[in-house]
Amino acid sequence: MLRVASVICIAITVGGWIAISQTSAAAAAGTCSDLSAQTTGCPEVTVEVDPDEVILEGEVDIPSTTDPRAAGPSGPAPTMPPLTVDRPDYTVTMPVTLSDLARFRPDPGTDHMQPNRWMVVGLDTNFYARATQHVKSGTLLGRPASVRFTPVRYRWAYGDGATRTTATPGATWQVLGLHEFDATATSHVYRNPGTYYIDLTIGYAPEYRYADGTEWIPVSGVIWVPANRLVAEAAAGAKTVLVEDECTINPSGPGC
Amino acid sequence: MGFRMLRTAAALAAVLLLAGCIPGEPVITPEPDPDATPVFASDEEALAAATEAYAKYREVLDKIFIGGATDLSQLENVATGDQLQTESDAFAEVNERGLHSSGGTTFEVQELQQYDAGASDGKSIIIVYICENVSAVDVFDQSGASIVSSTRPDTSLYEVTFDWATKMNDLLVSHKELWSDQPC
Repeated sequence: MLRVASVICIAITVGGWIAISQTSAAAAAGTCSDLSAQTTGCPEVTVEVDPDEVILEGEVDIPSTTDPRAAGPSGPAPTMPPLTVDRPDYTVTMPVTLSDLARFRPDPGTDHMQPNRWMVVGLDTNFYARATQHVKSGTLLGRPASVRFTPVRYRWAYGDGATRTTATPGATWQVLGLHEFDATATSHVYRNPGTYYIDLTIGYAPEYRYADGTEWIPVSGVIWVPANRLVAEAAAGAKTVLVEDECTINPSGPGC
Repeated sequence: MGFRMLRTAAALAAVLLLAGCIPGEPVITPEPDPDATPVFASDEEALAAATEAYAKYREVLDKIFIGGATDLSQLENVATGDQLQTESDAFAEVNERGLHSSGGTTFEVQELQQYDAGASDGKSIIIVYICENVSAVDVFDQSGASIVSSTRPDTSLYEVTFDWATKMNDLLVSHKELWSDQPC
């Protein structure tokens, strides 16, 4: 008789321990500051930047109800065994922890070149990127969450061993008001004929906003996303190049 | 065989002893350290002390936020541990972004969750549920524009943990987290 009573007692103690350990596990991530409580409301959202995506994570504890699913937006919650405590006027409430993840990936940009898909050995080939600031939207704990990606870095691997990282995406010769084969901030000169594979990777700076927060909150870190690969032929000693004037008249003209 | 059974019985007895399980005694409340004098004589006294400590905590935090978080020196008198860290970090952001608040948060202590009469210095001693109301609070950026979200809940229920600081002879808020996202 004594042994049976003691075994029940152990079960309750273990149950109590589980409840306490769950509370403190949720606690580590769930601390709430006045700044959050008074601007957006808690829970706080933690942000993680992976090599290719931004992960927003939110967590909230809610008291258990007869139907835990009724309490939160995140679908079925774990069902807990009922816990009774042999002490008058005391009830133990098992929290149900709702946690949610939302993942956001930036769109890749595109790489372009002038002339298109060929270059002249010894002359500048102009590369430029097209990438725009864009917003990806999702849902976190039943409320809207968004991440805004802004392109900030462009890393070209020109295929001949040379690389260049710029803060500018570059632009066409026309837009820059330059002549064909002029040097630009993103142009490159190939020294040898051959086939080249040019790879561009665009670095996006992420910011996030949770539950219609009014301000974008910057996240440290840059997400690098590869753009399309360009394949181009460099012609050796091009015999014919269209130029503005005859080279004999204007020897310093573009292409001469 | 007989010896093994005896050994099993002895092991079970040891487990029962370690678990502090003697029938008829409360099982959840940790046994107080016989050498320590309980800080509070009863649950009611503990709850009253927590209410008083939280009022002090709220007063200090509201004052810091309204003043643009230029002076954090009072924070250590009302908060410790996790909560001190969280609020210090958040107030650093407030200061950096040039934010400030107006109005103040009101609160109502709802219920005592637990009081551990045997808790030692620097350990969690009281946990209570507190309902906070931020409907009178506005938060402004440098240009004076409000940055309060239209979806901010007016009231939220928090689980607030207090540590006992012997040196200060006072309760300090060591942890505060959202307990329910339902209005309270």
